[in-house]
Amino acid sequence: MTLTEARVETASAHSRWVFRVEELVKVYGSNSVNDGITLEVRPGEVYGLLGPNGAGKSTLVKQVMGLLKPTRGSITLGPHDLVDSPATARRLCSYLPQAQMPIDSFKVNEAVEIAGVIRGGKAPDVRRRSVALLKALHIEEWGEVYGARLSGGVRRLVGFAMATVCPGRIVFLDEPTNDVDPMRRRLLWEQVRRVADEGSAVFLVTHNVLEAENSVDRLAVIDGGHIVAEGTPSSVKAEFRGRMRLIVMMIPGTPDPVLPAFVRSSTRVANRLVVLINEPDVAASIVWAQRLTAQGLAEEYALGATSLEDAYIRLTGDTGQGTT
Amino acid sequence: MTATTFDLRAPSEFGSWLDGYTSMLRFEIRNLRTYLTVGLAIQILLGAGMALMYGFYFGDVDSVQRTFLVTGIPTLALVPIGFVMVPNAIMEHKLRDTYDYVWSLPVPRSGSAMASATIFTCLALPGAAVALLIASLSYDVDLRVSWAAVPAVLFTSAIATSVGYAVGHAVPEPRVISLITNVVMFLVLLFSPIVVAIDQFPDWWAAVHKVLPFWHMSVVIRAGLTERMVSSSVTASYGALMAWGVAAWLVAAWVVGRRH
Amino acid sequence: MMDGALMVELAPTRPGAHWLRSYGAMLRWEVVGSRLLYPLLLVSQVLVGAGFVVGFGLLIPELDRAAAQYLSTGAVVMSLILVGLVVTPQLVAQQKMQGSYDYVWSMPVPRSAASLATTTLAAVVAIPGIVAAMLVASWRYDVSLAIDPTVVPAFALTLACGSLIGSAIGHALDQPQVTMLVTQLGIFFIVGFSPVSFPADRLPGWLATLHEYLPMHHMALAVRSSLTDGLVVMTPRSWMILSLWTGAAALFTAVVLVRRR
Repeated sequence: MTLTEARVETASAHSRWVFRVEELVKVYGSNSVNDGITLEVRPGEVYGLLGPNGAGKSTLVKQVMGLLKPTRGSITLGPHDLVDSPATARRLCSYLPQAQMPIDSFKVNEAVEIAGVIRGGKAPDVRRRSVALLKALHIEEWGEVYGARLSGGVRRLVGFAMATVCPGRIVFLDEPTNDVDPMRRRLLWEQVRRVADEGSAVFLVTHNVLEAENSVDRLAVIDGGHIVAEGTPSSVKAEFRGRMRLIVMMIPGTPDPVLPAFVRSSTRVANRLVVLINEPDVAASIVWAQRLTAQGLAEEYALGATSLEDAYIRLTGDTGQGTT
Repeated sequence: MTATTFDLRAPSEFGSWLDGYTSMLRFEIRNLRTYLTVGLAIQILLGAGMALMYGFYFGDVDSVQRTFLVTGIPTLALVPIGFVMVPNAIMEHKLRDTYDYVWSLPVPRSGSAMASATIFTCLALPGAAVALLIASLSYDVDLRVSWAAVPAVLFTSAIATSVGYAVGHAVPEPRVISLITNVVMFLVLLFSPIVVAIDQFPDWWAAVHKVLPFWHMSVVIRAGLTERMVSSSVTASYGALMAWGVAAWLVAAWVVGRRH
Repeated sequence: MMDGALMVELAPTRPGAHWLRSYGAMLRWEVVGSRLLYPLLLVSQVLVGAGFVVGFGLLIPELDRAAAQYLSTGAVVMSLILVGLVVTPQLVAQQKMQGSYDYVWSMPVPRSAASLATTTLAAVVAIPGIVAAMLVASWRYDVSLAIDPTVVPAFALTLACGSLIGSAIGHALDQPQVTMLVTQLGIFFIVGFSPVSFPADRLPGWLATLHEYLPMHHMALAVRSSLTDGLVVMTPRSWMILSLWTGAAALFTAVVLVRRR
């Protein structure tokens, strides 16, 4: 078989591997943690699930991995029913849980290689892939270091490597960038994209809205057990089309200023005041911000396009305050 | 939007120390709610259980030995709380990452430590009392309980808790703590001169126990429960226990105070 | 860079080979995962094994030959039983407390292979203690052993039954703290209230009768009779009860391991 033929066959074979969740319900006592979730992820796609803490994101993932049993509803991957056969689920899906990996007494190389072998890869393939992955994440210098000595961020990247050295048809990542420094975060997102390009679907759980916006193909916002919005990042923030955001950094301690009439909505978190305005009112808003600065109430201001964060806050009310 | 600010008072004021102490007490009590119910039940079960267990291992014993055995039981009942439950609780904090959170709270650390020590000290008492009761009933032994018994039990419980506390904080790896507590439970409980006279042991082992706190705990409590049965110096044992307590708090203070 | 060869296969072509491979991989995972503990484990196991034998000699002043044999073999049985009924569930509980439970149990290995890997490690770790106990017994009390072939089924059934029950407990109890408390209670019951290191006639009647139906007494009988000559008599009835318990434990474990909350 030529390379082209192989690629074509792989592509059509992959199109069979759609991941579907239908009307998934998970009830604990009187609490509906997942209340009729329906979504679909295609191979090669990076799909994000955004939501505040406690919205039911991790519960959903655990039901797919066979750690929890759904109360009602179906989960399928290609032709396979994952609820019926948790063993198949574990074989076809990779998982990076929210907690740090238990790799204190493993050297980094060891951890990734053993994880790959456990997932069914052949040792020489796994080793080759592991070396390349650690290099791509810029952590190869820690190869022979024990897990206990790693910083939280590097440890998280090792966990990511463990989950993707032999990826399943779909890879679940629960808060993969927790503790990771900004430089390495970018590398991680590159590798996420690569995993998707190689044919797996990637299902990302996060409450970091800004990151999600730039890295996912499609997303869903979950709140209180329900999906409250779904689609591409652009379509989810579609209602904000024609709007801009003005960010004003207030001087610490100053009270909220009186908002002019053209302000559509505003949110203040600590000293950062974010105000949404319609495009025609841009000039007036800049004048207002300049006046605040001249009065000594604000330090600086900036104007930008609306972000997913605005849609997210409107959908869930979660401003990120009081959460880590 | 309001920000919560903590009123940072000078830690040298006793009033504020007391505030910190009581608030941590409440925090710890809530944290330990599972422990309090289950722990109490298990402690009473354990206390009574140890009393009976020795009978099975020894077979027939005369009345002096029986009295000796029974008056050693409270010590045995106190050891699991101080030397096992306390380090285990701290270990659990560490494993669940609540350890760093608790220590970052704006409460003077000594107050917080005293709070948990108080809880655990009190936790140990019902078990010790019930164990003693059951033992003296099953072995048909007459005890001469004097007023000295109460402070003796409180004091030894506090010391056991303190040492367990120091161990729990000083040992970094949680699984090592679990290992240590299992070994302590097993070896010390079974092979210490708590329920049998110390002269039955070879000199070297007796010498080890004159350094360790366990034998001293039993001497002090036995003195409060009997007349003329204790031949060694009770004051010396009090002294040894005091030394252990001080050492434990020094270690704990050093460990908790340093930045890691 | 990445080839389709690494994309996970759906069905294992040969389930038997897959199970073995999984077992080997999980064993490697367990062994490396506890690496930092081995020095301490070794020391504590030897101390406990030898200490048990020496210690009771200290507490009970006149130890005749038969009593010494009883005690030493008691140490062996104790180690075997504790491996299954205590160490295994504690390992599972610690996984839960560390948060690594979810990751380990989401891996595509058969549940039985993963469980057996944990038990294998626990059993191997118990060996130094057993050896130490036997060495000390023969040195201090001049105890000698007469090992006969029943030692294989005796050890195997004791380990299997104990660890099946133990891992089922560890998985079934959702709260790891409860598991830890239950295992401490278990230690207590086995060391203090089971006719493992002392004869059953010292127990009150009802407790001795209870132990006719529980597995520990029969485990002790099996192991002790395989290591000594004439000290105890192992009856076919005991073998049957032990086997029944092992079978029941296997069933219970299979149910618990597959169950999802």
